[in-house]
Amino acid sequence: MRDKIIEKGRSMLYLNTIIQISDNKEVIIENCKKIIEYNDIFLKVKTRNMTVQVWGHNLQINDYNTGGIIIKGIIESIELINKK
Amino acid sequence: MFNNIRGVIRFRASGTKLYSFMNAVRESRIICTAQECRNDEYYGEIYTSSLKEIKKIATKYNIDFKIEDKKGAIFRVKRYKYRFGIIIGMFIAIIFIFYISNIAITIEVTGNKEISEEQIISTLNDIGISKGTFIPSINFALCERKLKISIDDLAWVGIRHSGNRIVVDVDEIVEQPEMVKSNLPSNIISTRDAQIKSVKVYNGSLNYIVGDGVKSGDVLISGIYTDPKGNILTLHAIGEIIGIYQEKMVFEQMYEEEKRISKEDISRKTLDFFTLKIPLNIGNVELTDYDYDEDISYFMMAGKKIPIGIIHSTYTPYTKNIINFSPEEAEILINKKITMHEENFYSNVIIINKEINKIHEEGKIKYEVIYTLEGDIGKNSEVLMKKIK
Repeated sequence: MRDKIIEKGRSMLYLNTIIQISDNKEVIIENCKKIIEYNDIFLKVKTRNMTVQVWGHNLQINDYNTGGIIIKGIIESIELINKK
Repeated sequence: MFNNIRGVIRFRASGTKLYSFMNAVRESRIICTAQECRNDEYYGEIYTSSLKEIKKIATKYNIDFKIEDKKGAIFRVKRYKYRFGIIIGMFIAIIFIFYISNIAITIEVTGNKEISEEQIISTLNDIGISKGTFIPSINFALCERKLKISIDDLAWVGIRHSGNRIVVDVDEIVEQPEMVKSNLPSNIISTRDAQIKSVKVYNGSLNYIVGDGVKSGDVLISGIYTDPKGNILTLHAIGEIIGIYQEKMVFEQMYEEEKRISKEDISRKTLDFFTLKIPLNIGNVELTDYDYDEDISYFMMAGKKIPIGIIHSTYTPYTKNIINFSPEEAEILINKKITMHEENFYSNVIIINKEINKIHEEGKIKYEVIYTLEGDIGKNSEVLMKKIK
């Protein structure tokens, strides 16, 4: 019950991790906490409850100070790894 | 556009704690775009305002921080920050644009036919509108009323401005045509004491014949007549009565006269720069009695006048001198006066005889001239009738 309420509250306040993919060119990850690894083919980002791995070419990050990041480049795959 | 104004710095960071640096930048809420990680080097773009903070973070994490590129107008402007000439020039240009946008450079008058443009502009000058007047301070409605009151012949006035040009639209009063009272009953009466030389009667009954003497006010051609039935009728008398009459004129000439004598002209030049008057000569002209004449030559550009020109001012100074005339000189002058009088007033009459009596008085010579003239002596005089009650 408690978890449900917390989850509902997070959803209402947009505190969940939101991932938006546009074609294979842009990925917007909101509410990400930390960049764990980053180079031009791979990006690993930690969010509240999971780790997001993005594979591609010429990856580039734009950070507009909104708590999220915009990843640009040619996206090949996105992996979501749940926190254990 | 906004980025270009704020200025964007592209940096390169390398070091062992690169990910800590990246996350610290994120946490410090620095806007960082175009981030790339290549060959263990981290690249990104930040605004100029974030440079100090990012440098602090780099020092904290022992990161080798280098600026790769600087983009934006702010860096270009900074290059010229000690070029005071440019700043002063821009400041002067702004003031100049403000000045020419808000002052009257030209005054145009349209719609005038009889009234000269100079008269209207001169009146406007008295009212408070002239070249160089600050346009926002002009009360156009009040000036329109004042101009209309100042010049009687104006029926309507409209003043407006288009940029720095003041346009004065005027409409002149159309004069009422004179009424020809050809039907009103009238007599022709004598204007002088004269002897009638010839008569021409077109309408009315003649009271005198050629050779008769008449006095001023006598009815020469009557507009009132009685028909065979005894009815008294009136008509408009028309005719021409030529008479011979005398006229006495007195001319005087003083032996000593005060006259204004002109001296050598003084010329001055002034630069008219958008109505700003800049003297091109040193020293003021200080005169008490003088005539002033002004001529403006405007510069031309592509066949059009521009509001920059040279004002050529000419001062003619006068001094008052007392001139003494000999009796002979006084006589020449008095004869000139007589000739001028005859040219001006006796052009329509024939001078039959001219009798001159010279009188020498103290300090002056006096001519009493008795003219014997031949000319029209009649004038129309309305017959005034009492209304029957």
